[in-house]
Amino acid sequence: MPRRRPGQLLPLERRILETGLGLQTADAGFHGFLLAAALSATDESTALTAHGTLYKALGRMADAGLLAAAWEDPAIAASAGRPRRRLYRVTAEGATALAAARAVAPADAAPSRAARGIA
Amino acid sequence: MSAQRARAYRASVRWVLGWAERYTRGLPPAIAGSRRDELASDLWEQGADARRRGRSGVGTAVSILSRAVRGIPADLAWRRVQLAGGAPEPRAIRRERRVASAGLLVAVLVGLAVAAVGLAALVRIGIVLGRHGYAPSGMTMSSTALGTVAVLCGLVLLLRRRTRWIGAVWLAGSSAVVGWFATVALEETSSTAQSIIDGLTGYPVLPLFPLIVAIGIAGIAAFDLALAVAWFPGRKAARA
Repeated sequence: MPRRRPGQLLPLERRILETGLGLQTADAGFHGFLLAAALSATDESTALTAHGTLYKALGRMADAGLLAAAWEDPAIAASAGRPRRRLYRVTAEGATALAAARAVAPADAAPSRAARGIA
Repeated sequence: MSAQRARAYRASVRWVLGWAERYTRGLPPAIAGSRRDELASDLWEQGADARRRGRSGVGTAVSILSRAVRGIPADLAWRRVQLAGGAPEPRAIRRERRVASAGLLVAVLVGLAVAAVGLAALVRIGIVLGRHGYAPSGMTMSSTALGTVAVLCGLVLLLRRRTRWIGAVWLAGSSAVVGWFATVALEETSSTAQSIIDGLTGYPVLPLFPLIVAIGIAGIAAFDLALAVAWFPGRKAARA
């Protein structure tokens, strides 16, 4: 898949980057459900993003270099008694793309939910 | 009972993982396994989140199923991209797929409409027979009944990719039988149908009615047969 030019973000991708930057810490990324819950909390609707929509977007963004994805150490998941998580982090390229998108269209001019392409 | 132990939650998880098993079938094992593992993690996390928040198992299951169903188009699009080796599908192929989907949708809707006409005719025959002891000819009744069953079988064949072209041929024939005999039965047993037919044909010019029915039948048959040709497996292989 061709790499994206900075600033070319779909509405859902922009929200993922914005929300992801808020979720990730210096030593921990975020996983799919955590992101879905956070997206839903910042939305006017309480519906969680659909599985297919979310993971298709995350995969596409990882392929484009906007996110870095890595599977959690299985030992950590086993000790916590749960399936291992796939952890994402917003990359420097993702942050640059978000900054470029914000420069073109500030957040307060964000389109409606339907226009944001949320399933 | 915690949400994660609720039967509804576990059933919804099984359904979603079963669906994931289906749409990842035939993909490279690493890609398929990664998607299924990520979904399994998501489902577990949603159950754990529901438990922490004291949400019911049924509510959590509804939310999970809603997320899964809303995501089906994206799942299928993702699958197509993966099958194409990660590259987005060319526009021409996407357009061809959309045309094929629209054709299938129209064929199914027309088939359902024809089946509905057949069933309506059978109901009217039953009512008139019960109330007045009158029935159209045996040929009309048996053709309507068998034709309606055949149309329903054709719809089943149409919905399976492998038998789609057979279903289209099947529907072309069975729709013609139902189209002809069910309208005859309705004309004989239903005053509402008679009024509609009179309105269509400009009573008393009744000979126009068979012509209208014949044109309708020919149109449906031509449409179904065109779809059968387009879906014929040999043709697809030749194009590939």
